[in-house]
Order: sequence, then C-alpha cells, then structure tokens
Amino acid sequence: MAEPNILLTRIDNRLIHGQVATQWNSTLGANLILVANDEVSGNTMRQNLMKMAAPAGVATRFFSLQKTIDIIHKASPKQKIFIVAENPHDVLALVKGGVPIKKVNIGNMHMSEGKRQVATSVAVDDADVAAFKELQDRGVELEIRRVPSTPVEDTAKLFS
Amino acid sequence: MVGFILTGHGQFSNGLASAIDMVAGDQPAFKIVPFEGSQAASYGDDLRVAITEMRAECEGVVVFVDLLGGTPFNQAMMIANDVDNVEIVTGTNLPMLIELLLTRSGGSTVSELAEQAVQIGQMGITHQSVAALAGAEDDLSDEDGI
Repeated sequence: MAEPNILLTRIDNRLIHGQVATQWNSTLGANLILVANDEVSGNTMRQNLMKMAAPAGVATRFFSLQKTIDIIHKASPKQKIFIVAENPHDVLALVKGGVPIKKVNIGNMHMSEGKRQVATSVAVDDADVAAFKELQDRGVELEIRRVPSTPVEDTAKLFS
Repeated sequence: MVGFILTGHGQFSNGLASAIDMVAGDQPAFKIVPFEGSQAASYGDDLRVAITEMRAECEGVVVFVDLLGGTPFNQAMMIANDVDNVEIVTGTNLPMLIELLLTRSGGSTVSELAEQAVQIGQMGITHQSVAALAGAEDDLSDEDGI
C-alpha cells in the first residue's frame, strides 16, 4: 500500500484553533486534519469544538496515538493529511510506531513551571529537548514557526 | 494587491490588528488609523493620508470601519468621494478580516472583496449552545481511507 500522504505534522498544545484552522490548513491544502491525542480521542466536547473550528470541506479525525499508528497506512491517496499533536513526546511515539512523519512544525508550546522560553511561542524542558533530538536523529526535519506568514525561527534555539 | 485600511473608535483598530497578528502574523498593505479623542482634530487628515498613500501603492483600497454612520465611516466616505477605487465595509469583525487577508491576492476587484467581506462577516455571527453541539455528527467520513 502507498505511503500515507502526510503534508505536515504540527506540535501545538491548543491542537485545532484559530491559527491552525484559518492559516495552516489553507496554506497546506490539506483535506483531513488528524488530531493524534489520547485525551481528546475520548473527549467528545473538545472534539466537537475543534470540528467547529475546522474549515468547511475539511474532515477531522480524533485518534489516540495507538489508533493513529494502527490505521495511518490505510489512508487513501486522496487524503491529504495534516497531523496535529500536543507535544514532541506524542510525535516521537508516532514516529517510533511507524507513522511516516518527515517534517514537524513547532507551533505553540506554552510556558509552564520548569520550562524555559526558547522561541517566541515555544517553551521546553529537558525531556522536550531530548524528544526533539531523537526526532532529528531519526531524520525528521524540525521547523519553529507560529503561522505561515511569520519567519522561521532557528531550530538551534531548542538545543541551546 | 488591494490595500486594506482598518479604522474605528478608540482602540478598535489596534485591538483587531493585535488579534490578526496573533492568528495570521504580519500583513503587507494593511494599516490601521485609530480614531481617538485626543487626536480627533487631525483624524480626518490622518485617514486621508493613509488611504491616499495606500491607493498610490495598490490597485484599490478597502476601508474597514467599525460603525455605519460613525465618524470613521463618514470620513472614509468623504475620502472615497475624492479617491477612486476605494470601498467601505462597516461592522468590521475578525472573521472577515482574517479571510480577506488570505484571499485578497486572488485577483478580485475592490468591490468584489468588499462584498465578500460582508458575506464572511455575517457567517461569523452565530449562536451556539452546548445542547446543540452534542448532536453534531461527523459528515465527512470517507469510506475509502481513514
């Protein structure tokens, strides 16, 4: 079976919201936004709110990490997939599970206790950095960018 | 490209511009002209300069104002009477600006863009309740694929 057509994977701790729905999806031309998140896969309220945010004509799926791993290779070639995940650990789990992710956009990772701000909208702790390092070691391209019209920030900021 | 000017009472335009920056990032050919009490005397001139300069750089200008009949609207209309290819949209909201900023490079005329702004702006005004949400079904299931 052909490899699933994954256009981009974004790390955003707000998952589908204004920036993702109005800017990223139209720039990418995706017709399926796949939210890979264990919590949301069992939370219909959050799913319904995100469905509302998604642009008309764009399908949404809310799969657990394991279900994403199990099902991704059954994707139709017509499905142009935009994966949204909450953090680098979830993305790493997907990659380890065989999801063919080539490029990761790092969008919003909010500041919280024990994290340090390394880019305009990105805060990390040591475990996050380790996950990013492993993603890079596995050949995944990383890019820090909030919305398509803002400049790419240097990925080295993650590891400084 | 068609240029956009956003204006309104008080900090209306500053606030919307800050929301646009958060959602869509920095935008070319997009300028705000706040109408603040402290600079009320020069507002008409400031708006005229902004619209005229934008018109010199762009094929046309859409002026987004907050309120039909308010001073920003009245001033914009008087300026549009002197400068060609300037259209005014009233009742400006965030959905219309976000959408139009994305689509304006598509070759539409100034008046087509203004019409589109009104449609999108109206679509963004809705009433939602949690009770109605619970019954929502995913209508885009694809038998072929995931």
